[in-house]
Amino acid sequence: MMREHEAAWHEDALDTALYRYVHGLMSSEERAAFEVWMVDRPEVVARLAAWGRARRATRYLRMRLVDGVPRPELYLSPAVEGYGTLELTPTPTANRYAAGAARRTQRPFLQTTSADGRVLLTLRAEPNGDWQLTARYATEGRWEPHGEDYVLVQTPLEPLVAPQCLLCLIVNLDSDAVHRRYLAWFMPDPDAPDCYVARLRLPDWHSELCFARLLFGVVDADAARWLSDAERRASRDAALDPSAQQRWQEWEQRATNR
Amino acid sequence: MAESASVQDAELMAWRIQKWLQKVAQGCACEHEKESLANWLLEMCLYYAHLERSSDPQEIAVLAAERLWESIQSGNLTWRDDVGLKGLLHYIHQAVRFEMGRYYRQLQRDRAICVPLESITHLPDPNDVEQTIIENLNWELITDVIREAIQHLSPQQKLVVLLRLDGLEPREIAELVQLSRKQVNVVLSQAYARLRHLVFKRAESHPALAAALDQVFNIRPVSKTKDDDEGT
Repeated sequence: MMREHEAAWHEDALDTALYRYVHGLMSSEERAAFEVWMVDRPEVVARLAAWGRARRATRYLRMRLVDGVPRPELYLSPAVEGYGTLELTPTPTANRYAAGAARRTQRPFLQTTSADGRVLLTLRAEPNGDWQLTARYATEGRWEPHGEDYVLVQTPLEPLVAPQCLLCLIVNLDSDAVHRRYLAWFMPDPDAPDCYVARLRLPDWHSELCFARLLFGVVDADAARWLSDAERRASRDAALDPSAQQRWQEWEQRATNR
Repeated sequence: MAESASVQDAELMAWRIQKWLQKVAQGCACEHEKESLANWLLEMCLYYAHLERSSDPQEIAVLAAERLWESIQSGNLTWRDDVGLKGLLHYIHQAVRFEMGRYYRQLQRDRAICVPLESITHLPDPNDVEQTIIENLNWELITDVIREAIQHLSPQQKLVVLLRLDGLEPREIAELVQLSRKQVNVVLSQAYARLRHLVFKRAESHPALAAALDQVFNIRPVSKTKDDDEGT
């Protein structure tokens, strides 16, 4: 059976064959035969690895038409590792008193985890109206709800590499447009071993947006290249940790020297 | 049955790209079709930029995709029935190579004008003891033996391990080879156990390999450790 297919995998048509393999356009039989044929050819495995790396970028980078011309744009979808969403609409809670009277207040913090349980995101309201965002990434565990809190459940068989950056998009729910983009650097968490933490101080958005949603996901440092200058400046200014600000300085130095 | 369905899928995919190309060239494509074509070009350019081992693959891919878009609009890049998708992929590969050449030439010109501070601060330190130790470790022997041991794995284990060695994460491998993330973890752990067994077995009759394993990873094959224990 393999010999039958081999004619379609020769050097000339190898890219087409790989394209079909990667996009699931081969039958299961041809797929299995292709894998057996491929493993003894390092140059073909290298091509497959190139596809893997290309897909890593397409999870957060896409082309968007601006005045009819395609331009690169950062975006987030469930395909991104550590992807999650958080509604930013003011959610009043009621404080009840013994006499039965109730006073409505804003919740002091919002918390959620990513779909894969790797990221625990906490958004804490500050007295001046700003918000402090903290994202904790667990390389050897998953965050799971425990009552009103979250606990870290160890999964030692699936250790992951250290994350690089957290991409946050604030989306205007009225227009569905991205209102703001922030990128935060992950640093080793001094309070929790095997965790990495990214911290940002976000300015209050309620004066500009009523209904907003925060999307977040883990991306690599290359994503910083696709922020606008203003977005990069805002991200650097929002970074709370001095080591994260240092990372921005290093990144900018590298970018200017390139 | 499945075979003919996959051929149909492949044809459908080629037909869709052909339709997008023709409609964009004729100026009658809708926004969604234009963006789909632009994103397809980006994906292909990223693949070729990585294949060419570009040091800045995203930059190259975006530049190449933008230039290919101009070619489509000016009518220089169109669908040709005689070469089909294969010919189109070849054209994109050439465009990425061309863009890489242009990008690095520009970079060299800029560097000639302004010497980056980084190139001075990153000069190797001749007194770097850590680097000297790393250079003196016997990596070559270990990698040769591992490479040889990989040949004894099953085709699936071999493919997953080779992709992992190429720097792909388990979740990326899972997506490429269409296995679940858990299955990839199982395949990897079984393959590593087999490789460990093969390498240790080889080390029993290869003192230089045993010494290199001890030196690089601070691990000793079981039988050797046993001897040591008996000796003490």
